Amino acid sequence: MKRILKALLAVALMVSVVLLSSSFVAAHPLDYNRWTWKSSTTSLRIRVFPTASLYHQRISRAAFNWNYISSEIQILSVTTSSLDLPIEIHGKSFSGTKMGECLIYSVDSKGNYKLEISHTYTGQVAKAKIYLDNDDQGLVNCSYAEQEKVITHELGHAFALTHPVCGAYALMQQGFGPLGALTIQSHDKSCLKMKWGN
Amino acid sequence: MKKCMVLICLVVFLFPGCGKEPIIRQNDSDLLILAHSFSDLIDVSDLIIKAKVLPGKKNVPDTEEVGGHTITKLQVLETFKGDVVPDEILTITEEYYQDKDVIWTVGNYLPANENQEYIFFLTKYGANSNWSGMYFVTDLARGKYSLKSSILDNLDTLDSLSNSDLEIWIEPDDEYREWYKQVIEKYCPNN
Repeated sequence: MKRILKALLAVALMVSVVLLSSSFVAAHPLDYNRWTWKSSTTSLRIRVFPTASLYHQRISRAAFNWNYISSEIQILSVTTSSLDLPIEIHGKSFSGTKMGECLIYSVDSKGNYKLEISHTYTGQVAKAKIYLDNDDQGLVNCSYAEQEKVITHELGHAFALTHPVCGAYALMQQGFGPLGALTIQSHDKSCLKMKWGN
Repeated sequence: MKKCMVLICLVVFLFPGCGKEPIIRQNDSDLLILAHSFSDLIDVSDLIIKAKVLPGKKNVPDTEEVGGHTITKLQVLETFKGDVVPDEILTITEEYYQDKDVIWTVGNYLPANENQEYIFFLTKYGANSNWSGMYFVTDLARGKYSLKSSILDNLDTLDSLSNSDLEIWIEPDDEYREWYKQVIEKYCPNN
């Protein structure tokens, strides 16, 4: 009886190892950008502008989704106060089926922000502006889970993550579907850790 | 001879950007993907048409800093789904924006070329949308199939055509080639 149990246990272990390895695709260096934040990333704050206020609750949930994965990425608070904070979230109408977008900026010695190209920029980022679709037909009509996915995805871009080049099931894939997860997956976590450290 | 040299120098120094290809940059964005299979693409699209892209595209900025979309007019040549008729002119949004010599695009989409023919899968904007009365290309690149002869003459070797030949951006997208074959088989069987 003991032998049978041991054999069953071994088979179960082997099956779970095979299943785990098939669903896990390792992070690729192209899955994150080379730029870094100018300010500390362990005490980031987010400002929500009135145009995105309809998503405030989901923004708070999405922001804290990224905490406790890498000790170097920590969002402290989400606020509507008029402070100049590193991450801004705005609302705007997007054409087509675009639901969110993240733009990054460097800052010069006079305090002027300059838009940088995320994929090629290698310097320090001083601000990320996230735009969420507030057109009548777009993101507004998605479920709360889908809205939270889009916001978490855009915040992922603010942490230098890109759309995965591999076929991994990940939140950082575009859309919801066979590849586009609604929540942070192991691939997203490994990309974040590879970029910022454990 | 001197005059010739001066003229050449002027051309070289004054017009260095002439004929320069724009740089393509992908926006960091997230999208709603409407079709996960070719049959989905047919189902979710309000219009499936063969159309010619008319000259006079309009670049529309939609933030004060960067980004936007392009308004494009199409002349319908043939209708496969929907209630439009040949020669009707449609207005669509294309999800790219040209800022000087940079084209900011979304996903794998590349601009449709003026005066060129395509099969388009289009979705209609709702009555309350800012773009009411217009259409958008369903799922970006996957809703636009170029009918230029360099592709149609090489259908047997479609898999070896480059992304730029197919007018899609640099991301690997083998599925696009599969869908392209199905589009041609279904809507242009004589090619």
